[in-house]
Amino acid sequence: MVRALGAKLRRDLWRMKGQALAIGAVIAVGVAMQIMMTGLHLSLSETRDAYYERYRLADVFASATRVPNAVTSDLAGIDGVSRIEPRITGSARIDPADGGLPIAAMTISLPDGRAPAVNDLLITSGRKPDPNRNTEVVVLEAFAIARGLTVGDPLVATLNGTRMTLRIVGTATSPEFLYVTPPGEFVPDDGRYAVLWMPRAALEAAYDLRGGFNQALLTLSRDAKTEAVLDAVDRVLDPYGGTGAYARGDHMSNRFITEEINGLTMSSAVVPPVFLAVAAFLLYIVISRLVQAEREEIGLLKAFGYRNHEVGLHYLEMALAISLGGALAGCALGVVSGRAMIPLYTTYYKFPFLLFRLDAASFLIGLAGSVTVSSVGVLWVMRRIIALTPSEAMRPPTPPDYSRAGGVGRALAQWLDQPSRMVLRRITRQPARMAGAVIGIAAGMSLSLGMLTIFEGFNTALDRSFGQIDRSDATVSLIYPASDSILLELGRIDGVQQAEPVRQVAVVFRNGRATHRGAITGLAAGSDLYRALDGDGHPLTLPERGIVLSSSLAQVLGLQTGDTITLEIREAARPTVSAPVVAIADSLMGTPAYMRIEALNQLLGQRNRIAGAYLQIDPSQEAAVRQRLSNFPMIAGVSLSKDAQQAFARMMDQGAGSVRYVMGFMAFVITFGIIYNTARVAQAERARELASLRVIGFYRSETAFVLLGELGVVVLIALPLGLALGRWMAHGIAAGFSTEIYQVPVVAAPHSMGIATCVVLGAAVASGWLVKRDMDRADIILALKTRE
Amino acid sequence: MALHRKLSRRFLVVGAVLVVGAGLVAAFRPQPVQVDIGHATRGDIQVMIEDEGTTRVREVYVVSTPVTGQLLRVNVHPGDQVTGGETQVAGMRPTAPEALNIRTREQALAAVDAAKAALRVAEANLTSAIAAQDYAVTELERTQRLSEAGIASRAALDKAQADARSANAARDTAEATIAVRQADLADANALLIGFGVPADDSNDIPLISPADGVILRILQESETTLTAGTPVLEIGDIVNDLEVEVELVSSDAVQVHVGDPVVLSGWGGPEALTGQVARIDPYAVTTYSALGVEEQRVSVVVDLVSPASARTGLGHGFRLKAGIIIDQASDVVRVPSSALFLQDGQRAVFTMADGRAVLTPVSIGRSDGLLTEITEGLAEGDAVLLYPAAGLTDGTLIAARN
Repeated sequence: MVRALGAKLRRDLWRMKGQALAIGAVIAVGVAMQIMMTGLHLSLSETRDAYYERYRLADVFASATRVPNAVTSDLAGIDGVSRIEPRITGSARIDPADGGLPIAAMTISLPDGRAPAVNDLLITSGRKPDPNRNTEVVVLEAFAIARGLTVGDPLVATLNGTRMTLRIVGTATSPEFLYVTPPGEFVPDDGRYAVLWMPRAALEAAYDLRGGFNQALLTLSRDAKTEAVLDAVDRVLDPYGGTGAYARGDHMSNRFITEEINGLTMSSAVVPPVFLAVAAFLLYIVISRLVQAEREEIGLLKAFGYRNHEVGLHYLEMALAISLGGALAGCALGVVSGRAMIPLYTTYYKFPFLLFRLDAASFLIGLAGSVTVSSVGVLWVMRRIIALTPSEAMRPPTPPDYSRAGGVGRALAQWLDQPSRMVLRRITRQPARMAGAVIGIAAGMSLSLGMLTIFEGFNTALDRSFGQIDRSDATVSLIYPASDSILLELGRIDGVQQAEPVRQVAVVFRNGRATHRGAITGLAAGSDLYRALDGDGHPLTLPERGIVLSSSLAQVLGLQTGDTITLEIREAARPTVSAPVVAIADSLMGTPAYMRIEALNQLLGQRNRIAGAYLQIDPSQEAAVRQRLSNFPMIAGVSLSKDAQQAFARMMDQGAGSVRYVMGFMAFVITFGIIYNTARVAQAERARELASLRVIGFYRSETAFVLLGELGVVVLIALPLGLALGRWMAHGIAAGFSTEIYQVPVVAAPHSMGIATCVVLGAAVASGWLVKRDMDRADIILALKTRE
Repeated sequence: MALHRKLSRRFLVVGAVLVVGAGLVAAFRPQPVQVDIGHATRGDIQVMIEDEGTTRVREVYVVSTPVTGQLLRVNVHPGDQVTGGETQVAGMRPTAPEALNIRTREQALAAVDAAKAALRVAEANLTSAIAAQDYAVTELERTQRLSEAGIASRAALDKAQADARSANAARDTAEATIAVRQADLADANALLIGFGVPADDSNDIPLISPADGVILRILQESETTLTAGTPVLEIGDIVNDLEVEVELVSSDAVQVHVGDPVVLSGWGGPEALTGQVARIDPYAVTTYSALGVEEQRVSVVVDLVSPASARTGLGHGFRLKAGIIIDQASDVVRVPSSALFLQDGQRAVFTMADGRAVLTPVSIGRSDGLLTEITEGLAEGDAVLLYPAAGLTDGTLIAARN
């Protein structure tokens, strides 16, 4: 007896292979997404944790101006501190051998003769510098690779005004530099920022810190209270010019990777369920259609003695076959795509190694998810199966009652020809199923439209940042804030058309209990090359007194125009002042705050100081200007806007670009799955009626119209709904992915809407064509035979 | 009726296709790129060389001590008006004598005693000289009587006369010696005058201001003893005698000529001042620039043209920004410099016509950094694109950012 049902199962599956494949594909994509995302999440977080632990990334970073070595014991004595490593950090300027622009670099001291107790480094080639040789240096591996430098090459660097020729003895990487960007930017560009590790004695001499240090790294014990430790460290370091200690969570590199991992967590929680829900819906309509069509067979089986559960099990097996098949394919696809994503991550996150890891749990979840999905659909139908008595089942079903035509139908019916009236009637008769199909299509469309809108938003962000906010050609930064007569000197260089001052000062913003470590950017009134813009894109005039906050910062601190904010300045005299918030600026990257440079200087008790300049350069003299700029000792670094723009665009194309196509494919899979199944189910249900129509004399086109018209109406209704849902989804994604570091703007994206619509239409046309082809080939005579 | 109904299906299909098609066309229609629009204007252009300058008084008078003496406390203050030849700005007194220590005091006392003793000696000598004179006179009388009687010889009379005369002379000598010894005694007494004896003010020396103006700086305010020639204060006329010194890089100084107008700003007042280049030094000195490189600087002197009423409060040594106009043109077509770029070695701008960007080659003339003169290619009022993005080409659809 079981063998008979098994044969029926195989036959039925073969008959509806198209539908089975479509549903299986939806499940496969959903499971693949889940496997890939959880796998990546696992790989990234475990690798990150292992990397941090093995190389002892600090829990607390505390900088000061100059701290005598004896203070180390005070810091070590703070409750909760388990390890401490004092070190010297500073900035340097590298003059590349090929005569390019000077590159800003960070220098870090290595203790003599032992590994650092906190923030160790992994030497990837060469060796550590000899403590007795002051000109040996270990460089960041990514920088060395980007610049084609190897062990033994010379490196010309200027530290604190002294130019030295150093020799590279090794390359290294460290968990502190997992995600490294050139100063002020948000996208890594390996060739434009370097880290140099040098012996402690060399840096003591260079920065005049003999007998002292300027940064302390702490590892805390497990039960330490971070806030308390930070406060204690600040108290100890305050007399030495402490700039404020911060915990690992505020360390830039750690923040980027943590937010990326959180993003994966969120996506893996949101995206796969959508696919699985759609698959559940589809399985439900397929199985229920099948049960409906085979009610006579079911009655027969029951009459012959098959139990309820055996019959139910048969249909369950059918659903399981589809879903498990899809799930297995999804597992394989997930592993493959996960492995393919790894190189994308290693380009930007400098892990020493990154393997795509999976644990059994994700597989189990994927399989369990798909099994649940299929079972839910079938179990719903099971009620009907159980309810059927054999005698009832073998009777033909009651014909549907068309006498009461809907009010809408009657009014329209006068204008429509017969096939159209049939379509209309069917729609109004089964609104639930139509609604289900519409929602399903709209959901699939909204997923892809949401992602496409976000990508257009990224392009807008790029244009806004480089075309409206920052219109300069180059940004020059000085080694320390100096007199504004430098602006005159820069303006005198042949080829520099305009020079505008800028000064950034590290502050801690405070509003009640909400704090944020950031910086205030001081700009000249009426600056043209770098402007603060409001939400509509109009330039804001900076007030004489008072501060302009970016929208992201205002949100973090809970402030509006007119409130007062407390500023704890972390440079120079380190005063604490209050300032009125005068306006809120629009910002897409970072959390800037703006003031007039004169007001900022006044807060610091200084006058006429600038720390950098924005330049507009005549393009015909760009090379000459770059050459001149490289020769000034006061200049710490020069960055060209187009380099930053290219780095950003590269990241968008590489990372986001390929994901775009994946999104399109996913949307196609879902929409095709839904449309094809809806069409097939409708066709199978009414095969007899449609054959009857042919026999009566309706043309093939008219018959096709009855079926395809219904399909068309469903798609047409789903299109605007999908566009609306897609917009809503875009807002949701933007809110979910926006962080303090970058905000994702949602823009009106007609291009993306067009693409999403085309995908849906393409899927509709494809499935419509397949159904029509099948219908045309159907044997009319065979369909008319009554089944006995 | 059948005809009417037959059409509806086709009508519906065609209608749906049209609606969706229109939607797609609208979606894929090329969106205009948002740009910032500026305009070519007609006006003046001034090419300026800008640098920092400091004001200074042309003629600074330094009042210094004419003699070594005690300078009395200076009671004038910087900013006080003075009139040349009339106002007394400071006063001096002769130095007080040196203080006596133990040895010099004893020496002085001993000198007094010696002088006293010498006076007594001289007095004693006078007494003896008087006695000798009396005797000589008496002898002379006697000898004369005797000579008249013919008893004393002529030689004896001569001798007596000579003795009388020399005795008179000896008495004069003794009297004069007394005067000398008295003077010596006064001199020895004078050595005893030490520090602390109040002097009278009849010997005060006034220091009169040499010129009209204001006090610029007091170099020595408190009472003190100074040697001759020590500067005490500076006087200058900041109202009428102010000029500006600008140190220009030598390559800029070459382009500046005497008589070029100068705009002086950043001095702290509401309006910018005007000046004129008066002198350009023919030599340059080596200095270090703000960015840390060596450069050669030439000193250029600028006369202030603005009246004193426009620059109240401007003093000596004040910092300001000087913009020397080396070239200007009036009534030329100008366009913001941010609109210009290079295309195939030719300067060009994008103008806006019918909502599209048009690549327009232009020829340029002077530039002052913000505005550039257009000699051909544009007319007044033409709309140009500011800061054109790299992706713009001729014919791209554009729209002004509102």
